[in-house]
Amino acid sequence: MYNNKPSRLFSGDFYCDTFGSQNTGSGFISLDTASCGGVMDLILCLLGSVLFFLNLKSVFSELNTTATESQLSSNESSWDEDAATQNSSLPPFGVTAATEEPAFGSYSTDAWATEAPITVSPSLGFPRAAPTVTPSQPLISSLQTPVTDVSSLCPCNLLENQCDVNCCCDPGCAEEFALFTGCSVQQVITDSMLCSQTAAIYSLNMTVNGTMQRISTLTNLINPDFFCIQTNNNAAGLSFGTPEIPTNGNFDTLVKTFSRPSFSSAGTASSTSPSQASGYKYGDLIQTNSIKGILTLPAPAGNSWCSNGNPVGFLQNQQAQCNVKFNLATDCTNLSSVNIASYSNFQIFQTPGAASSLVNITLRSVTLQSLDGMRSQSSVTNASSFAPSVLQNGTVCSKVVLQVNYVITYSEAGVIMNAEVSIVLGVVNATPVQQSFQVTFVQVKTTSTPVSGNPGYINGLPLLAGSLIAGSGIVQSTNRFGQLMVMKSSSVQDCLALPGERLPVLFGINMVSGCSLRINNISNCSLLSEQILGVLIGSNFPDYVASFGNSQAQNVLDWVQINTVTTASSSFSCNIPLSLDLVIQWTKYGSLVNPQAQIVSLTRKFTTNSTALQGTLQISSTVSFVDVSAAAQPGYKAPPTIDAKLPFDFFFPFV
Amino acid sequence: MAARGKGIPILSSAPLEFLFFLNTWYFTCYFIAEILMFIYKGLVLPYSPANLTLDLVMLFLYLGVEILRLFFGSKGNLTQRSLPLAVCLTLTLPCAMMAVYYLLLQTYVLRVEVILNAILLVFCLFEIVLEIATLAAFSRY
Repeated sequence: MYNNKPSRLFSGDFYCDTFGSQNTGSGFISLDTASCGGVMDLILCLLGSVLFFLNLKSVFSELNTTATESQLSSNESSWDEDAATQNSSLPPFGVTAATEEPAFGSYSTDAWATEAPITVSPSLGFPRAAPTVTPSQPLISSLQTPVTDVSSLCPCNLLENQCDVNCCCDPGCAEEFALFTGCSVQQVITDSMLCSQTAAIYSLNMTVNGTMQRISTLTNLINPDFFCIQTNNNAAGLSFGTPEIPTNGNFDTLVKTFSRPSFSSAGTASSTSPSQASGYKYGDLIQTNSIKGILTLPAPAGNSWCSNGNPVGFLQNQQAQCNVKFNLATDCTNLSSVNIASYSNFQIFQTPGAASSLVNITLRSVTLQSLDGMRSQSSVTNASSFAPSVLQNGTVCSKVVLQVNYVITYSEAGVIMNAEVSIVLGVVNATPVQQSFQVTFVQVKTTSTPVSGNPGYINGLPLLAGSLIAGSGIVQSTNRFGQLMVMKSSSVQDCLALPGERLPVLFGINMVSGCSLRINNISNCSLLSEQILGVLIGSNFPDYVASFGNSQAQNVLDWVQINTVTTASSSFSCNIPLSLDLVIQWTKYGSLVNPQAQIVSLTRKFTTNSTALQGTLQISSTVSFVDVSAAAQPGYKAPPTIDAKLPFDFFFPFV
Repeated sequence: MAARGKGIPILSSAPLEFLFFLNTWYFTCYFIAEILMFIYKGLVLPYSPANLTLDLVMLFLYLGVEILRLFFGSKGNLTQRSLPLAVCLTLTLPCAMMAVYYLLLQTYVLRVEVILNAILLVFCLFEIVLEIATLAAFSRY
């Protein structure tokens, strides 16, 4: 153990290796940091360095011995082992002096960022974040100077004013040290690449009464690495630079350097649209030749009122419903958001960039809605013939846009091929006007029918059902939510009042619905029975249900026939169905890792009246999903067979 | 010639010439090592472009001055002429300053560089002593 007190001849910033005054036994030249300044010191430095060079081998061997010595003498039994368990990637340090040095941080480490050695990578030691003592303040102008004093640094001190377990440098721990089992951070240094630096070493020592006692020492670590940094004249290089404070002068350059995508108005967004490539990418704004420059879809922003600036992102299907403040006298002809022209009278750029060709927005359908909600299809002529107009002495406004539905067809390359819009125009006499908007993206040359699962059904998606037509497979309704439907409970509770509205059967969702039927006379029993049946099953009940969510219509074997069970009691002359119970049995199919829901059977069970018909009858329909999965069967791969055959003349000389 | 007592006696310093020869080889190795070291430092350490440029430009300047110095020194010593040797002596000063720069003042001083530059300074020191002695010998005749 060499106890070298550094002798500081000059208080300059520069240090070089020299042979110290303690040239102890066996030709060892201790590497201590003595200041070199002035001509004489310079010459001393030179001579020392030459001698150092010549004695390099002995230096390294001596460093190793000093390291082991310090191991033995220090309180921790295995310094290297602990460092290894902490995933230390440090170059091995030789500890030359284990004495406590009160003059801490005297080695021009004013602006050096620090970090615990357990996380230091040897190749790229810095720059690093400069830790600060107190929580950072919000103002940039009040950035704090980095703390570089190793004795006050503690990388494992995560809880403020509390003790962290096994954090031996935590100033919040006083009596807790007695309970520690080890030190999570044993050595705090400023930088692993420096040749010589002060290090704070922490260790635990067991006292006589069995508790632990923390021992902290400050030592001078000498790095034996040939390429360590002897002198650092670029103090700023060891910590992150101080951010520039924005002023009037440098604001523009700072914005250019640090600008990120942010919210902005629609007008500027189109000019800074990043994609100038061959096609639109997901989320790109769709560029138009309208005044706004981009395709927008009004949407509620925070409240129920329409915000007109909501942009449409490529491939992002949207659906929105919002209200428009509408003054009948003034806004009917002037407000652009109720005018059909603002939704159809522009063109869309096929690809981003003004150079691309334009696609007209085709007016696919215009539906006219009367004041009482009746709708009629208008023969599409021209958007200009649907301008809003005040009718009936200013009491109603006709041809107000109530619903806009865009369907945009795109190709694989992100080129918009076609854009269609369906618009519902209505007569309005009250404000506000509720509008609903939708945009759907459809890839060209693909079937746009979505599936209810791939392959197994997904909970909440509609069951696929259809009717078998001989020779052409299953015929389904184009509306996937209209293929298998049950009665919907209405507020009127009258079975015969509103037979129109029905609910789709969604996979995995049990349903009960009902209505009540008041019977005055049962004279026309067969008519009543037909009507109730119509309420229960609807006009067009399918025969087949798809066993998988993606069953193809032409593949009949993928479909399950719907069984019908009728519990009829023949004791009564008049039988009318009182309830329809749809029981869907499904099973998990495939591996346990990713089971797929498969419909095994669908039974519709009619229950007819068992008592005489009188008074008010409850008609109900239920949908229940029953999991009939069998217990999982373990399946094993067949064991491999080894096809090892000996050649026929293997025992040639003997047999 | 000197034994005959005729003509000019041999005044050239053999130790100085030997030193120049060694210095030439050493500086070649030094220059290559420094270039490699700057590649290493440039990759590993955070440099500002100005610092790195300054260090590298100084290194190439050092190369030019050192070549001139050794050429004039060797020439003056062999031809026994004072002027080239005096030029060499004056050029030794900037060379030593360059070595001091790389020893102490450059952006990051590695331990290897401390050793290499210290050896260069030792060369300079001995050359200065021997050059002064040789110049004194030349000027006597």
